[in-house]
Amino acid sequence: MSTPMNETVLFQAIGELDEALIAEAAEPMTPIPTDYLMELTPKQVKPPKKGLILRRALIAAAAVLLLCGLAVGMFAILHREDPGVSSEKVPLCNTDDLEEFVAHWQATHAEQGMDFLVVPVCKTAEFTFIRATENEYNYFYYFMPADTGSDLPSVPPSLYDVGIIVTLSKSKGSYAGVLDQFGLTDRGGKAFHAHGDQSKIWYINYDGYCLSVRFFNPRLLDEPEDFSTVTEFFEFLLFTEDNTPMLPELETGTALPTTDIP
Amino acid sequence: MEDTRIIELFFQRDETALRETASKYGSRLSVIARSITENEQDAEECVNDTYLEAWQSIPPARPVHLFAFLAKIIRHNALSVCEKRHAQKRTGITVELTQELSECLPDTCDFAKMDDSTHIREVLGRFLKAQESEARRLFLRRYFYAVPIAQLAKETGLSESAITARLYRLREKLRVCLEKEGIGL
Repeated sequence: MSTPMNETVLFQAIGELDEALIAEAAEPMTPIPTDYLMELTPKQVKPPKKGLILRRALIAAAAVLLLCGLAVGMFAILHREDPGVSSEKVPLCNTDDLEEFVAHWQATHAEQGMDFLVVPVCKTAEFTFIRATENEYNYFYYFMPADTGSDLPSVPPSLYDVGIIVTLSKSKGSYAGVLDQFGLTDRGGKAFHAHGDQSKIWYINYDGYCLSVRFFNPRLLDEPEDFSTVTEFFEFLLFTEDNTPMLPELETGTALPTTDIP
Repeated sequence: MEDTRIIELFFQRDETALRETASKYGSRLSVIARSITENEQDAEECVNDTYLEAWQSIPPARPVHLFAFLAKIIRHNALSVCEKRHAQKRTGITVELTQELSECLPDTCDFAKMDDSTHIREVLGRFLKAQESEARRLFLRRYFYAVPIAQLAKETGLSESAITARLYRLREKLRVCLEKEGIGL
């Protein structure tokens, strides 16, 4: 461990930084927007005076392309064969796929310093608990058993149809504590409640599936720069790398909840 | 009065420079001193010492950012006063800040072994310049100006936990940066 003297040296070194840096931070900071949904609205910036028409034309073209993409995506989704609820049809419900998922996440997001927990739930997977600490990120994988006589009897059976629960955390707690943070032991039906003052839950319900993303890590909750938009974040969660939907019944365009779930 | 005019007064050895400095920056300097010393009397002493030091330093120094120049002096003075008055016992805020910063240090870090003590300042400077302005200001508001978390939350409109988390992330980045630069290794 470092000694107190070392700590003081670093503290004092900050006092010797360039005056330009120090001057920049002299004034009180300005409010930082925290509402994710603001990311979905047009940025409140003044349009440039020059090239405005070209800019608008480019935006319009991009919007058309986006709509076309969405239409194609919708078509692909709606014409998928209904796979039902089985581990085969939910890609995250076996160990290999999960690891791929984690690897993908790590490759695309770990550099941003994001820690997370991944909790896939399905009917057929056996209960396993793996904690990987091969790098500075901790990954916790939980496979929930399907039968109600399991280690988690308080989880409503209906929730075993949950395709995936993803929770972002820097948890150092025990297994039980982690589950408690998920709210798996004390929730009922689809009504999730916030856990502690740092919790916020986003959720999307679809027939037969419920995807909930529970944020209790304020680092992500209050730092939308980790993703450009909420949509981007959910798209990442809901689609594999080749844009295959992870949840077959997923429909795009569903509005996200705008407030915490009470 | 503009900073450049105040500095000219310093160069002319006109004591109006001190009055103008006190008028323009006195209250802000007091805030910094009070944050660190947690003592009104000590803070007042630091402010006066800072004016004196500025008087002795300008000229030859010609600071581009007068307030930053004064802030560096008063921060240093406040830390020195703390050590003298409290017989090496640091105040609550300095303990708090140094503890937070200790997370940035590699476990094997030992600055006593460092040949060039300016290296860490250079690394710190490069690290901060590489950050986004918002993050950089947050870091310095906290660790240079010793602004309490609650105050930072009030300024930014974020929760205190969010501020804590952002600072944590910055310290983590700094830790990695220090390790890469071989600080203390």
